[in-house]
Amino acid sequence: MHIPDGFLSPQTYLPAYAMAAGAWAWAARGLRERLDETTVPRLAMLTALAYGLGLVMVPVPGGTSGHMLGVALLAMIFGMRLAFLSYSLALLLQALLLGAGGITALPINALAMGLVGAAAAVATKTLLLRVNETAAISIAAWISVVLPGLVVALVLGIQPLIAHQPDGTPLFFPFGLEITLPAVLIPHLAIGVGEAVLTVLIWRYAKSRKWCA
Amino acid sequence: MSPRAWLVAYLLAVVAATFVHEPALLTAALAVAVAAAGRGRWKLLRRTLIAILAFNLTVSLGYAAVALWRGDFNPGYLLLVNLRVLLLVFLGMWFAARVDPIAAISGVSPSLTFVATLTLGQLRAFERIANDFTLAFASRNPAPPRLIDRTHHAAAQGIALMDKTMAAATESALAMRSRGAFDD
Amino acid sequence: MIELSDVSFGWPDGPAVLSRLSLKISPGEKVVLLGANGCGKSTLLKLMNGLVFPASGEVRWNGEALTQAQLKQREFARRFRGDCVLLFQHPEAMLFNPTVREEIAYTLKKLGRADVEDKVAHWAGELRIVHLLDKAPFSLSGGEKQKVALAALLALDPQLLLLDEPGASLDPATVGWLVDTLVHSDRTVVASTHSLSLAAELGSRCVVLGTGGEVMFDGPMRMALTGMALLEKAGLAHHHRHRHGGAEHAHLHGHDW
Repeated sequence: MHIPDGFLSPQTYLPAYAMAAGAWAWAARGLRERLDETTVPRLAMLTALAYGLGLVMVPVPGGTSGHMLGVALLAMIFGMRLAFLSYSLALLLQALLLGAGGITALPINALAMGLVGAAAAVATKTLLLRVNETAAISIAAWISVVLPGLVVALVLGIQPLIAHQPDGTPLFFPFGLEITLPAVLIPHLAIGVGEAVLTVLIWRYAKSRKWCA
Repeated sequence: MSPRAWLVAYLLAVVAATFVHEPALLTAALAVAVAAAGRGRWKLLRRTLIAILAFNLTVSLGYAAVALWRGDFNPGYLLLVNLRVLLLVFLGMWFAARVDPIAAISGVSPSLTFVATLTLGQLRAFERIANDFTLAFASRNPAPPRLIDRTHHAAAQGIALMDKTMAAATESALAMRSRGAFDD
Repeated sequence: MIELSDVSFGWPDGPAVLSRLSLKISPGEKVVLLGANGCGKSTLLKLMNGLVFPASGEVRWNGEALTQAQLKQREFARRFRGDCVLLFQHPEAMLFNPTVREEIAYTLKKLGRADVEDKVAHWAGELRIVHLLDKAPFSLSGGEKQKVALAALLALDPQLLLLDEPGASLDPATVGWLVDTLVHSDRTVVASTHSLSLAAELGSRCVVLGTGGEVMFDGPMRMALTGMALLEKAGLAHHHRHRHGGAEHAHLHGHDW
């Protein structure tokens, strides 16, 4: 979710950075064990892929569509750690290089989409794979969009609570949970369907090329 | 100032700005930033405004509507938050335009620098692909496409990206090996 | 048929690619856009196909202004997209249907044309891709993809065929077929290339684009290909030392990169 800088309080993003740093260290350590000469180029290419998938417009009935997330696809094909690291790195490059901003939202987005999204996708797929593959992939992709949406809605919605003037006027994002939860979740429920459809179609291709772990 | 120093300065400025809640101070900081940005300042400012317009307008109007209805509307909030966002996004755009991010993060970790460099090349190619896909779709659609067509098109774009990614990863690993990157 | 007057264009946040370019193409002409990589040939073709619009200047299609507003009009868009088509340099950007058959039929169906199956079969036959009709486009090789895209475009029987670097992915046999089919037809063709030998075969009129996006030459092909100074300035020819027979020397010559 593209939240411009200035809507999240330091009480939010500073601890989030600390948490994210811990998560990045965990993911990197896990990778080092399986490190071989292809890891670095792979991470680089997956970062570009994470960015590239974000350029794909998810078709939703009615014309307006969101951007694809792609984290479910990345996680299910390449694993959670690579998906998390590459997604985080893509966010970093977007913030520092492409002027898209979001350096304060970065740890939230990385944790919500890159970590929670990836984990939810992999867990769902593992659970449902024996039932039906298409259903497993689509539900995994849907969850990988909706659950991060929930996290972001929560983080935004508590801003008025944790940072406000003595008289109650908000200092950062002004809407409470009663607004952010429906406002963020409902569109994500729809976009998640589009993401699920695209993920299944691309997954089938990846399978036919034998790229799936 | 070295790129790394600029990165640190940028990050400190961002953090500092989120601790300031005086519109006057934020306005002054914005004026200083715009002045210091040099010749491209108006272009940067324009880009900033375009980038934040939709989101900020929605939030501002939403806040006004909800707060007026609740009876606790404070126009000072609108001034504060919009100024802060303007300042922070401007700083971000300025940083991105002026500083080489690779140089800035070098020294944090050589692997990170390496990855970022490799990524950037591929990233530009993917932007070109996205642009081509969009234009080609427009070229082949004499009437607005149906949902199923847009779906096929989006999937085809994702597939093209995956194809290129897998090919590129193999290529660059081979290139790195031939240049001795893995011999130690 | 299509006319550009004083057209300037730059991609967003980028430098100007074309500046004050004027070009007029009449029905039946076979025009080659010759220029080094990056000189703006692709961009020029995209302008002609109404995919991007000039920052200044005008593009006219059969006398009507080709603008974003105009293309939003259903009737005009139908006519234009059926009559003016562009083969992209990277064909995978054009393909998205589940099978080659549906791919070739796509725009035909959208235009409500008759005899779709016959047309698909005919052009698949012409391009020798009948055996691929039930395959998925993304499983094909680069050359096969370009043939599929070409079939999809030719099936529309367009008045103006724009080709962006057609020699890039096509195998020599298909290039030969292309030259035979197109160059001796009534269709108006504008093809871009940086290859001097391909240029010679693709058309009789040559427009040389300089590295700054300006028209350096517009005239008979023969004159363009023998004007060494012009070619060097356009980045299409160079000096280097080489051997002829036993002697080593240096002179200006062109290469087919």
